[in-house]
This record gives sequence, structure tokens and C-alpha cells, in this order.
Amino acid sequence: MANLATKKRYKMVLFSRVLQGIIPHSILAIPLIVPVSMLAWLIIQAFSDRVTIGLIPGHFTFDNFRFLWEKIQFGTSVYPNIWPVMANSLFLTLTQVGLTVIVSSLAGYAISRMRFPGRSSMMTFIIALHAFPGVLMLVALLYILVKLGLYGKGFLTLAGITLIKTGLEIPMATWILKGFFDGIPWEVEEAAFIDGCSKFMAWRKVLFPIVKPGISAIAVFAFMSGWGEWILAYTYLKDPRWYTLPVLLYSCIGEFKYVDWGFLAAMALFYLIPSLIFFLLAQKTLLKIQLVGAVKG
Amino acid sequence: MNISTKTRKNYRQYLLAFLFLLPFLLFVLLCWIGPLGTTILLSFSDAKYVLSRMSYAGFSNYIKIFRFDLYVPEILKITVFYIGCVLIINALFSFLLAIMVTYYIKHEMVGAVYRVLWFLPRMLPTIIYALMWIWFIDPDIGLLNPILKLFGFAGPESWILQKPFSYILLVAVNGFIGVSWGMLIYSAAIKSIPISFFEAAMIDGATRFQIIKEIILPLLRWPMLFVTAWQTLSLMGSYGEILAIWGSHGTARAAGVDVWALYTYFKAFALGDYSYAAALSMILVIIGIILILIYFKIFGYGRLMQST
Amino acid sequence: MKRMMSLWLMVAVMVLGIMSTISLAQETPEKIIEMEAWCYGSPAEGFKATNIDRATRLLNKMLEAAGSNVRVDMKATFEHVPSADALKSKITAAYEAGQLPDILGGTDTLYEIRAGFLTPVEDYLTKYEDLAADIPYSLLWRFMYKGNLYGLSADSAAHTFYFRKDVLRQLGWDEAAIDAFPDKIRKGEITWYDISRIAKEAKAKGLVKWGIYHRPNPGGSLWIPYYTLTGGNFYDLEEDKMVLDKNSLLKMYKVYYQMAQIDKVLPSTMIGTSWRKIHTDFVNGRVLFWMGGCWQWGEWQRVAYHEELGELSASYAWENIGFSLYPAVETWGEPGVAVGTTSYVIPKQSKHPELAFLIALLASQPAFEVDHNITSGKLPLHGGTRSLPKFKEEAKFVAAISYFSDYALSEWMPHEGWIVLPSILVEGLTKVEQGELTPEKAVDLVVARAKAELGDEIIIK
Repeated sequence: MANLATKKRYKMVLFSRVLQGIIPHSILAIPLIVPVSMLAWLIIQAFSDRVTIGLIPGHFTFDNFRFLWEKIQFGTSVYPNIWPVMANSLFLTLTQVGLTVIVSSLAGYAISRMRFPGRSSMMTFIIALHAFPGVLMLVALLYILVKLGLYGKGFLTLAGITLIKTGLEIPMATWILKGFFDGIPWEVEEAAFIDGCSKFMAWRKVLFPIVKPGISAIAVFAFMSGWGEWILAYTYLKDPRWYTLPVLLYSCIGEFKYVDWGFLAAMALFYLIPSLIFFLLAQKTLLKIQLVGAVKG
Repeated sequence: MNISTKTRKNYRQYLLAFLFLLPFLLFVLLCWIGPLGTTILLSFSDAKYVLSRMSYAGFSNYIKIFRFDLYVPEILKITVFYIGCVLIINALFSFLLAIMVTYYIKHEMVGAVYRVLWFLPRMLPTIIYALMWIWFIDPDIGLLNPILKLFGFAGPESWILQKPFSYILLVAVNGFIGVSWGMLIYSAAIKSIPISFFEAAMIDGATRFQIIKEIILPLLRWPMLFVTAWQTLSLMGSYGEILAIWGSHGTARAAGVDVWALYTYFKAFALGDYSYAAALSMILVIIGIILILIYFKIFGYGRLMQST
Repeated sequence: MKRMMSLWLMVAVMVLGIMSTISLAQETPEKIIEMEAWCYGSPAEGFKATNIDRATRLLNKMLEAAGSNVRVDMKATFEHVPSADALKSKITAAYEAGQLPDILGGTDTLYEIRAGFLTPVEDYLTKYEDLAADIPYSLLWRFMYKGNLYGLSADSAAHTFYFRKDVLRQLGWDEAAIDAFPDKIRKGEITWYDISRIAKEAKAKGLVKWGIYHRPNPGGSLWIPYYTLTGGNFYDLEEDKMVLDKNSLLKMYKVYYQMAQIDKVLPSTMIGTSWRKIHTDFVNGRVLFWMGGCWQWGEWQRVAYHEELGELSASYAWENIGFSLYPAVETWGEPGVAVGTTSYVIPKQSKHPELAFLIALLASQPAFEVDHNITSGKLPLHGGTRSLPKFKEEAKFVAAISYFSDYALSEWMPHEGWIVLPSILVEGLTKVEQGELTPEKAVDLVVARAKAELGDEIIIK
């Protein structure tokens, strides 16, 4: 009698264990079919010389990647060599990341730790800023950039665009880092002061490293924002040599038709790889260190 | 004597804070205050095609939106539907995913792989993402319809245009991008709960489900508020993916996915009607601010404001 | 010996010195006029910029011959744009910065006119009219707005009705019938309903997947049935207002309804289909009729749409694809095509407007524009171009359709209403094709929306 009951209980426990194993994986994995298959398609298409049906590749070819070593010729349009353009994008993106990290970590620390008049209204203000949709900021920004004399000035224009993009990201980055700073116990800072650090040194040597996970999160966001910038670059730059990479990509897709899928997929892959690399680098930092998260208990 | 040193100390503190905040303030001034001011001014003007030709027009833009614009009611409905559905994904489903990946997946490596894969859509530039979707939903060379066929569903000829399917596409496209953000925030928050909490609960014999309900859920109240509020605002202003996939405002309207932000974009950049677009945007802003206030009331904003 | 050497050296130096002084004296400093031209278009239209270059070089040769020391240094660029809206922003930003070029090619002319970016050029045209003696009047004086002319035509694109000859052969038509087909359309013997009937037959026999395709977003080719009925477009020049003829609109919607819902030869999801799919399907023979444009003929030979052959060869195209005017709506009615032109315009900010205009006018000279026509498949402006041997040999297609100009219906509607009307018409069209509304109800919808959006600015007949 007792044996039967325990056997049944054992089976139920086993069943629920298996279920507990399957369900999380299903929830996580099944929707992923969509992006993963899309990525697989992109890779396959980049190396095949005709349109892939489903995931069945055409003939294998490297030809789609010819933009790496020759000028892009698209019908009768000739585009600049891709490497200077890539350098432009890298400059914009990395500068944006660096500036964002520095400015928002300084400001986040100040808002989190220091006392000053207008502190709470500043916090409200930061959140309120996110209520303003990017659409119309774009119109106003176009206007402002011209008034600042930054139209068509090659590198100077690119630098101006970098500053603007950074500025647009900073409120959100500051807010996120503030949350991370909030989570650090006061004792840590106290210890630093006892050791004779000024506030600035405490920030730099002690607190900044602790919020590294937060830093890597905002670095990733900043990277993706900068890497994807095309509208300001396209509108403001006269010389195509100073375009950013997405402008080139977008021009090749254009408003007409998706003409050469293999070529587009190859360019897309080429464009994707730096963001993947950056993301993986950032993830490594994120995963290693025990997170001091934005938890309000 | 005491008082003067105290005020001097305060003064030094303020100065220090100001220095820390200086770069931040400069950027905000250039990139936010300036454009915002311009936008607000624009909404009360009648500038078309060229911004430098503004002249005062009072509330005429706003009046036009509420009384004369035929399309506004429809657009409002679509926008509310859109935000509602995607929020469920971005704020709630992402929470589920975060729990799965941090709490249920034991192997660190596997969790990391899942995280990266879920972040994939967000890392792609919009045009590429759109291109991939266009391939995916293509009835001839895409994968979606064949997959659905395996399960016995017949996919439509055009996901972009046919009514119920275009709504599903709308929500899916934006959901895949938004979900990873919430997942990131929630994961970070869950991971920072001290292990001791879990150990204590398990010693007391709590089931996994109970642990989630009693420990994780309450501790994640603030992140949930943050994510919901933030995502609501983001969604109100989002149109990039919709524009990239549907191609033009006209097609989007025919498909019933014409959201407020897309309409604003259309008025501004296709028609050059900048002031009207500014007024449309300001409406979004006002609604956004009201919503934030409501959210904070519900979740208790006061505690946030306490200094550490 | 040494003294001799140094003497010769001195002489040599002196001679050199004298020579260089003489040549310096003869060399007069050049006065260089710097100009810029920005041209845009589909990947096949690069000659828009190249021809500006050639025109400038021609001008410089003439200046040199006249002994003048003035030269024009023209920087002409051509780009394929990311999006029409982005281009508008780009040009607006350039305007605000005061840096618009001297010539803009292939941009949204009406937008720029309304925004006040452009210089009126009718005086220049009158002055140099002799250079345009063989350009048809309607093409030359096209870009009129409130009494001023704002641009020169850069090229002319006619919509073309394509059909698959190989499918017709499979239907049992002989070559004579196929060759006579365009002519019958031209005479008005074949209507849209006949087209639909033929398509239905082909589809029923399994020869094609669909009978007919049209463009997936608002554009001129969609409204040709309406145009052929009203003999014009949606604009009344005298009243300077938009016009909508309810009866003709109804007839047009009925045609689409017939094709989409009754004969089922037109997919109900036509609007919103991708361009790639449209071209691929037609090029691979899966669709019988395609409401397209003349520029696609060249495109199919430059872009690999065909699943086996890649880019079509000219012989394949002539063998298997036929072309004609768009059919009439009613028997013995009028067939027709809508003709769209892109423009060269001169922004106000140009410091040398007359010179820029002259160069733009020279850019369309037969010797130059023939290359543009060959590459892009657009119709020539000059009558003289048609008799060039190069044109007749290498632009056979364009030569074959040059009779379209006689049936051309204008699509220039410089009225604010033409910005909003197309989306309203497409909305009605979509609902008709999807069976959501009957043609009558669709007309009511369109009229209601048009009245609401345009108010007084539209006359509803």
C-alpha cells in the first residue's frame, strides 16, 4: 500500500521536475525562432548569388562582399570606398560611447550622492524629457545645427552630430547610473574618505568600478545609437566621403526596390559585426561582476 | 563662527555638485532645451517647408487636431491598441523571461546565450531588421507561412496589408525589439537580490513559485514601474520600424497601423507642415507626462525622492 | 674652358628667363566660375549628372574659342537616395545654410516650388528658346506655377502597359495577333474588361499565377483609367482647383473591382506588395499583364530578376515581352499614358542662374540625352534625338514607344490638394480590391474624405 503511494508521488515529482525543465526553455526558445532564423537567412543570403528561398542557399560566392575591396557601383551611382565611411561611423560611435559614459557617470553620482538645490526637480525633469518623442526633436535639431554653422563642413559636421547624439542619450544614461549608484552602501564611500580621498577620487577609484555593469549597459545603448545614425549625417553632409555606414546601406536599399539581396545581406552582415563584438564585450563585464542593481527595497 | 563654516561647507558642496553636473547641464541645454523650446514655439506658429519663416498662429494647430482632422480619432485608437499590446510584451512578458533566464536556468553559459539571442533584434539597425522581416513574411520565399503551415495555420498572402495580420505584425515587430530592454533591467535587479534571501526561503520549505511571489515580485516593484513608464513613453514616440517595413505612410494607413508618431513624421517630413507636426507631438508629450504622474502615484514616487 | 662654360651657362639662364617672362606675359589669369549640380534618381539615371558635365565642357570649349578666359568648373554629383523624405530634409537643410547648388536634378519639384527655393526661369527660356525648338511644347513649358516657369524637363517617362508574349502564345495566339495587339489597344478596340477576360483565361488554364499586377503604392499609373475618361487629370488650370469627376471615378473603381473581385485576376493585396516580388513575378512569366513604366524595360536588363537568366538579355525581352498604351475603359474610348517628367531646377541661391539654366538646357542636347535614354529607358525630349542613328540602334525600345507622346496625359498638378488626394484615392482603391467596399461606396468614401481634407479647393462634379 505504502509502496504504491510513494511510487505515485515519485512519478509526480519526476513529472513536475521534467516540466520545470522544459517550460522555461520553451518560453525562452520558441519565440527566438524568429530572430534566429532571420539571422541565419542573412548569413546564407550574404554568401549566395541569388535570392534564397526559405533557408535554401544558392551557389556559394564571396562576390557579394566585393564592396570591401572596390568602390560600390550600383547601377550608375558610385559610392565612396567603404573604409573611410566605416571610420566615420566608428569615430562617431566610440566618441559617443566615451562621452556618454563620462558625463552620465559624473552626473549620476552627483544626483545620487550629493545634496544641492534643485535636486529633486532635476530628477523629475530627466524623466519628463523622455516624454518628448524623437520625431520632432529631429526637425528642431536640423534647424539648430544649421544655425550653429555646421552644415556641410565634413569632419566638423560629423563632430557636431556626435555631440548632439551624445546629448540625446545622456538623460537616460544618467538616470540608469543614478540607480546603480543608489544601490551602493554608504560604507563603501565612507571607507574611501577615511583613506583620504576627495570626492572626485572616491568617484574615480572606488565607485566607478563598482557600477561597471551599469556602465556597460549604457555603453551598449550608446553604441547602438551611434552606430545606427544616418539621418543627421545624410542631411548635413555634402561630401559623401563623410557619410556614416548606415547612410550607405540605406542608399543602396533606397526607395526603389530591393535589388541585389546578396549584396545587401553582405553589407548588412558587415555592418552588424562590430555591434555584435561590442555587445559581447559589454556582456562579459556585465556577467562577471556581482550586480549591484537598481533595486528599491 | 559655527554658522559661517557650515554655510561655507554647504557652498563648497554645491559647487562640487555643480562641477560634476556641468557637462551634463551643457549637453542638456544644447540638445534638449533648445530643440524643446523650438518645438513648443513651432506648435504655436504656422511654419511650413522652412523653419525660419515662422509667424505666430495661436492655438490654430491644436484646434485643427481636435476639431477638423478626420484621421485623428482612428489614429488615436490604433495608437492606444498598439501601446497596450506591446507594453504587455515589453513590461510583463520581459519580466517572465527575466525570471526564466536568471532563476530557472541553472547553467550560466546557457543563460548568457539566451540573453544575447534575445538582444539580437535590438542590435540590428532598423533597415536591416525591416529587411529581415520583409523576407520572413514573404509568402513565396519567407519562412513564416511555411512554419505556420506545419501547425495547420494558413498564413495570409500579405502580412503587411491584410487587416488582422497587419496588427499582429505591428505588435510582433516592435515587441521583439522592446522586450530585451525590460529583460535586461529585470535580470540585473533579480541578480542583485542577496542569495541569503533565497537560502532562507528554501530552508523554510518554500516552493519556487512561492519564492517568486513572496521575494522576487515585491523587490522588483521599482524596476517594474520604471520599465513600464519608460516603455510607455518610448512606444508613444516610436515609428521607425513601422515606417521601415510598411514603406510609406499611405500603405501604413491602408493597413491600419498608422500610429500617432508616424502621422507626425508624415506631416513633418513628407509634407513639410512643421508646425502642425509640432502640435501633434506636443499632444504626445502632454499625454506622456500625465501618464507618468499616474504611474508614479500608483507605485509610490515619494520613496524614490529620498536621498541616500 | 671654364670661362666658356660659365658664359654658356649665363646665356642659357638668360634665354630661359626671357622665355618664361614672355610666356608669363601671354598667360592671362583664368576666371573660374565654380558651380555645383546635385542630381538624384534611380540607379540607372546617372547620366543626369554626366550630361551636366558634358554640357559644361561644351560651354568651356565655346568660351575658349571666343578667346575668353572665363571657365566654368562644374561639380555634378549623382546619388541614389535613401528616401524621398530624407532628400527633402537634405535640401531644406542646404537651403537654410544658404548652400543649395546651382542646379538640382530629379528632386520633388512641386515641394521646392512651394517652399520658395527656386528661381523662375521663363525669361531665360524665352531667350534661349531656339535651343529647344524640337521639344514639344507641353514638355518644355511643364513646370508652371502661378504664372511662372520653374524648371526644365530633364527627361520624360511614360507609363507602359506590358504583357507576356510567351503566355499569349500559349493561349493559342499567333504572331500576327500578338503584333496587332498594341495596335488594337491604340485604336480603342480593346478595353480593360477585355484585358481582364484574357487574363482570366490565362489564369484558368494555369499558365500564370495572376493575370495582372499594378504598382503597390500611390502613383500615376493607377489613375490612368480615370485620366483617359476625363482627358486630363485631377486639376483644373483655369479655376486653379482640384477636380474630381464622380462618374469617371466610379468607372475606374469598377474596372479594378472587376479585376480583383469578379474575375479574380488581380490580387486583392496588390497594394503593399514588395516591388521585388512584382518584378520577379512578371519577369519570370508568372503574371500576364503589368501596369508599369517605360523605365522598367532597361531595369529588367540591368537587375537580375529572372531566376535562371538573371538580367534579361535584349533578345529575350523583345521575344517575350510586349508593350502598349494603357487600354481604354469603354469600347472605342481613349487609350492613353500618363507622362511624368523629372526636372532640372535652379535654386534661388545660385549666383549664376542664367548660366546654370543654359547648362541645364545644353545637357539635354540630342548627343547627350541619347545616352541617358539608352541607359534609363526614358523618352527623349528633343525630336532630333529620335533620328540619331545611335538612338535608333541602341534605344530600340524607346523608339518603339515614342508614339506614346501623342497620347500623353499630363500629370503636373501644382496644387496643394495633389499632396493629399493620392492617399485618399488609394484608400478607396484598396477597399475596392479587398472587397471591403463596393465601387459606389468607395466613391462616396473618397468624396467625403476629399471634401473634408480639401474643402473649397476641390470641385466635385
